[in-house]
Amino acid sequence: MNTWLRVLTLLIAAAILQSSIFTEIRIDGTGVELLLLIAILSGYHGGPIRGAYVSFWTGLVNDCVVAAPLGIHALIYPVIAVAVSNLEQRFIDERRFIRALGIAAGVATGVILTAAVGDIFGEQLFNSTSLPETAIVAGVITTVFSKPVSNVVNWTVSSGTPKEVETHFSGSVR
Amino acid sequence: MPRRSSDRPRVVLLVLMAAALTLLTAQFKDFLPVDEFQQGFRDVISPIRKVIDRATDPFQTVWKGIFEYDEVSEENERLQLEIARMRGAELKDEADRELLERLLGEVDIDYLELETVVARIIGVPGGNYNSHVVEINKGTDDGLLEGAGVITKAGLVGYLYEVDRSSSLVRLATHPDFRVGVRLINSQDEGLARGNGSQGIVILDAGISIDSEVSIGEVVVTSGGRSIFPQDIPVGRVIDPDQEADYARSIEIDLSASLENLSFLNVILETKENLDK
Repeated sequence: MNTWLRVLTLLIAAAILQSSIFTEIRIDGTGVELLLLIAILSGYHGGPIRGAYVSFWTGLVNDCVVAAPLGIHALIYPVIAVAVSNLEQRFIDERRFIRALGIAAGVATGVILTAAVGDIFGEQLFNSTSLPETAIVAGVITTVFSKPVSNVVNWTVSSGTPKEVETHFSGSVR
Repeated sequence: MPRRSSDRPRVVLLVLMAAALTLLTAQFKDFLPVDEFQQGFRDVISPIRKVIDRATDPFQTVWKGIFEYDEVSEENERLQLEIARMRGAELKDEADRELLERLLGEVDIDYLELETVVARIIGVPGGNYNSHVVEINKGTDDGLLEGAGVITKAGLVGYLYEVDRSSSLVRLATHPDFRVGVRLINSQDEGLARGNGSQGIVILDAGISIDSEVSIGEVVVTSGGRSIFPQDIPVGRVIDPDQEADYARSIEIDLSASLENLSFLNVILETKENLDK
């Protein structure tokens, strides 16, 4: 299947899940940021350029799902995807816990940046006192779903990119 | 071979950010049918969404049972207290009726006669972008329009800020972007109240002079006029009149409608009769 067709399928499926089952999965009122997770993982698996494109479209879909002004999430998500892609090379060999922490930090940063950009555009979203708490809880709860989502995103965005090469002297090189 | 500009992450990022800013500008300046595109997208996925919602209902119930057990337990306690209170209330019904009549006379409430559409709350939007927003099961197919006021029998709830074909989003009165013109019943002073993100409270901080006499427990209603709300819809009662303010007053109002325990809402229709009120 063509990569962009895969991306389209993934985004529509994610939009449906985000606006159905994931509206109910909440802890203390804070919900899962499925589409932000996809943006982060597309940067991780797809590299900076593909990650930026996929996360831009992910942001647009999220804008439609949550009825935000079109472009708010699309403005933030590519930045996060590119940042994650740049950091990915440093964390690739780290333990799973560290990578999970990275995803949680990425989600929390995304939530805070979205609130900040929303504020600039006159959309007051949160109490300034509740924002850090919301960001942290969103980061943790979203990370719980990162393993299965990571597999799907990897399959979606990695087609056509070079596979891992086993070298004789230096182990695994991408 | 030199790299194409589209191969450079920074260039791609800048182009995408510029595209996002263009879309945002288009929406705020209203020169592209961006709203219609977003509504169309939600309308398209809506039927599948409902099927998935129904299919995953048991899972959602289990999740709520695990992570919201305390809240369910509190809700149960609250309802039991409510029943006990209602039983007690029956005994002093006569006295209450007299008090109610006096209050209704005081504020001249006729909002219960407004033409409304009853809607059920189906949840909250996904993610964390929309706090103080709920989703209802009625939309343009039921005659609802963007900006329509939303009330319950207890009083003001919010307004519709996004209306799709079969569902709508209600921005609650506690949302930081919510504004409503209000009137204090005793002094008849009018001002502008706003949500501040706190549960069950709105702040009246514009239009009321420093030397105005405002008492704790004073009833506050909508002022009508050019507002989307007809006049005399109960908003709540003053809990902090901020009497000692030196410069600008910030009066706290406890909302009469309990926004945390809503199930059904009334959306005010824009009929001629309603607009005349």
